[in-house]
Amino acid sequence: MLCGVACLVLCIAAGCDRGRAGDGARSSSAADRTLVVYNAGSLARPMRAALDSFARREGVTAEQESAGSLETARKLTELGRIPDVIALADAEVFPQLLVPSQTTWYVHFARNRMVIAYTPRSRGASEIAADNWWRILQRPGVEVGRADPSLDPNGYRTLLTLQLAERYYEQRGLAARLLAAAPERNVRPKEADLVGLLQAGELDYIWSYESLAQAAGLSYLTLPHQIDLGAPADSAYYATASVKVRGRTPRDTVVFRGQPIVYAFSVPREAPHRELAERFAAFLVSAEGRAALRAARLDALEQPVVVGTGAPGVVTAGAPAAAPNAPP
Amino acid sequence: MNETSGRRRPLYRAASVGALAAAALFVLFLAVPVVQLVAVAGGSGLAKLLDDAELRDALALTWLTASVATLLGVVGGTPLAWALARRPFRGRAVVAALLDLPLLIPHPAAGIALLLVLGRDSVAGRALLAFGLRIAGSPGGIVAAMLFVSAPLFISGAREAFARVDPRYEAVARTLGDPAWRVFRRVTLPLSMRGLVAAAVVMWARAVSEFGAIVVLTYNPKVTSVLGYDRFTSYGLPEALPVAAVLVILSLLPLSFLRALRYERGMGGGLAAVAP
Amino acid sequence: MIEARSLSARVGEFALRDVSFAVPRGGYGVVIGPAGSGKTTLLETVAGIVAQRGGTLLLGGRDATALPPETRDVGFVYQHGYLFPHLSVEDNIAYGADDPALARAVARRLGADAFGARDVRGLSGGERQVVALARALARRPAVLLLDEPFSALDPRRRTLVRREVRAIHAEWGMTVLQVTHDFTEAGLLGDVAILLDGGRVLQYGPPEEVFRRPASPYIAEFLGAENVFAGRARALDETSPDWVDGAPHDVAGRFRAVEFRTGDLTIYAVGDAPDGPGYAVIRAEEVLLSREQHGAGEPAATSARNRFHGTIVELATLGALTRVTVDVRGTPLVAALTTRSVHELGLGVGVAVEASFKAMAVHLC
Repeated sequence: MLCGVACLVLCIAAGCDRGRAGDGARSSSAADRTLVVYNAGSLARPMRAALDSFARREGVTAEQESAGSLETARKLTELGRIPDVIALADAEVFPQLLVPSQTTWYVHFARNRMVIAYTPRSRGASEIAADNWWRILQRPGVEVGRADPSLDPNGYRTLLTLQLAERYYEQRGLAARLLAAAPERNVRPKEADLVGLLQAGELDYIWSYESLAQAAGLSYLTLPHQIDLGAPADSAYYATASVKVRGRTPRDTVVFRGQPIVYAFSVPREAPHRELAERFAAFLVSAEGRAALRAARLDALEQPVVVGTGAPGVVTAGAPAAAPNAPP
Repeated sequence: MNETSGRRRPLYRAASVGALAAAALFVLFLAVPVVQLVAVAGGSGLAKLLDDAELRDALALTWLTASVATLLGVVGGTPLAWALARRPFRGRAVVAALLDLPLLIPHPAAGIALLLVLGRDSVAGRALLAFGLRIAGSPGGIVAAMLFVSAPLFISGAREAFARVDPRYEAVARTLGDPAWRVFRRVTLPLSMRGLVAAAVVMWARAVSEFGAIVVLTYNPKVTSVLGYDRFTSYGLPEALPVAAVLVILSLLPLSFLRALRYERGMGGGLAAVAP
Repeated sequence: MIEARSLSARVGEFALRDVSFAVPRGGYGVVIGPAGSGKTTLLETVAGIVAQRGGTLLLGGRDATALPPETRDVGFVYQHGYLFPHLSVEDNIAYGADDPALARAVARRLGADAFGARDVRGLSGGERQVVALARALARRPAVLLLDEPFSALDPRRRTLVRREVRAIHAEWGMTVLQVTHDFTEAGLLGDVAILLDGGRVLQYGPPEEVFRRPASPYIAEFLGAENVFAGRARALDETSPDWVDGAPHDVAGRFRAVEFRTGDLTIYAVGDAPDGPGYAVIRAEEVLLSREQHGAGEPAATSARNRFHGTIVELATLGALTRVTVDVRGTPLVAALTTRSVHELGLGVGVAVEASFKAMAVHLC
């Protein structure tokens, strides 16, 4: 009898597919008030603020998961876990990984720029300025941290910024030297992991986003707009920098060109609570939504831009159509 | 056989069968995930070893740091375990409770706590830096994280092993002319050796599997658990599973060997202290 | 020598209190007490295994109160041996021995050399005790502490081992302190008897004194033997009238006819005590008293081999029991009678009586 039980369980375990079933069942009932949101780490606080604001209006409960943008995208493509809303720190990830398999549209809704964050305890904090930061970062004994380019867009954006800095300041080899100043041991999976180390005094400077530095109450140095990936007007200049990052498999590489940092979100085709998700999407592009995001230090675009086809009406109503130079 | 025992027998039988079934299910619950992991990805994992230098490095680093951590834990923890087992000192209960704390702390929090104490701005950190030892971002940090989360397991196991040695053996040895430390070496240690080895094995296994505390302190260079996470988030399951499977397969060897030591004849273990 | 002055110690809930006694150098002390009276704790305190809380302990004349066990030069044998399970018999015995030749010699004397390189786990309880004894003696300690060392031995081995231990004790001039819960089982009385109960010494002194003058009815009841005579035993051979022709030899020597002389008295006993000085113990209940009939001729045939004439010197009545002390040629003999018998026989102080008891009732140790 015991053997029977054992065999049964073993069969079930072995036979179970890893499954690509979606999260939960589709809900058509208006009584189902849960919203599942996957977002990039740097969007954690702003999304929370927006969800709280939305919840007050609609009375929903939100389940939020934060992770690196690439990791988040892989939850859908690899694990088959589909949220109601997916919001990433790099709009490029949509065409790279998610379009058209998971969705056919996405919305540019916020932007950001690279900064160097620090604390009063950081070595050289009293002197660092726009005209000497690259020297201070290279000083012996100064620890500089950055995110992992394979896991967090902040990581490869750092590399792009370094390249742009070399070109901008016309200093040969500056990018390599600055990269050496932030060695492997100071690399962490996500930008958010670096903040803790900075606050603990283990790092002096970290490459971060303006929104995150503000939200964490850190001091930060703004960089020339030509190199900080924050100004859409400088797109052409940004495009002169490019980095190779690991792709879908260990043997693949993906090339990322310099682009302004744009945050995008979408509602996947197989979202479990579709109707509610679309209403939240509409909220995000509305004035009220943008105000909530800004209150959490996210630079929400005045004019969100829809890219691709098939976006729900409530969303396109609040945002202009794709600009001609935004690829689908 | 009277009426009541006749009525009870089927009940006892049902209870025994129920207990056996529960035990079997539990064994399956613990074993099937690992077995399936190895079955699904073991082959590709072993194949990977041939051409994946990053994986080989991660495995080597994991074993090295886990072994160093275990060594430090054994050397530092054995006297403490002995004192807890044998010397009723004031505050013994408090110390014992303190030693349980690392087991309760969520692992990333443990990593942060270690950072505060061993980081480059701390007193200890500065002292270590004077010797050229960094903690964060180095194998030293990995060892520190592993030691912190797994040492309590060794200490409690070692304490048990010492406690199981009947103090009368040690008393007799004292009367036969040995001072306390010689008694420890000639009597206590041989009689508790099996328990100590078992505790060290548990500690080593725990160190090898640690992730949360390590990743806060030292992401690069990567140990196997961190590499597995990295592979998963970068490439997905097909790349992550072989890493885990290889770690399981290659760890089975030392674990089985050490477990086999327990059942060897010769060294009386803690349990053999039962019959004086 | 061992001298304890107001020794006190504590193990868990149990406490030894105000323990005082002395065993002279080269002497043999026996600690007697019921189970749970603290006998083992006392031995452990003397050995230094249990920490002393108060009082003074002198070993060999010097203050051993603060000395660790390994410097006290004591040998210790627990009741269950506590042989090291990870060592062979040989290695156990040689554990603390400075001189391997001595260790081997001791093992041989006690019959432990037969076990040799065997695993201790395969030994029986009696064999363990022998090995444990050998182990303690292999160091030639000045003081030997024994916790019921012969309890698990079968009678034949017990005789052999006891004899050897006493011989070694005499040869080496060791001071021995032995614990037992029943002195008859221990089979011998030493120079000093120490009565222990509830962690306190109730009485101590030479055995005849302790037994004959128990300090309290409780002790008397516990000891249960009021007649203790120090004297000399001698086995009777074929020339003695007790020897019956044709009777098969008693190979083990357990049932030998023994003649015991104490003071002016000759007592006949049956037992296995070796020739030489020792003690004869007779329970008061075993002593019969009869009035000499005036004008009677020969007394009726009786199987009691021991018959003595004496005069009653003391009567103590406790309800239905009366203790009658008879002076027999200068030696007091105590008989326990029913009070009714005392009245019926008209016994009183000064009355002449005949006291008799069987040879089988004499316990030699």
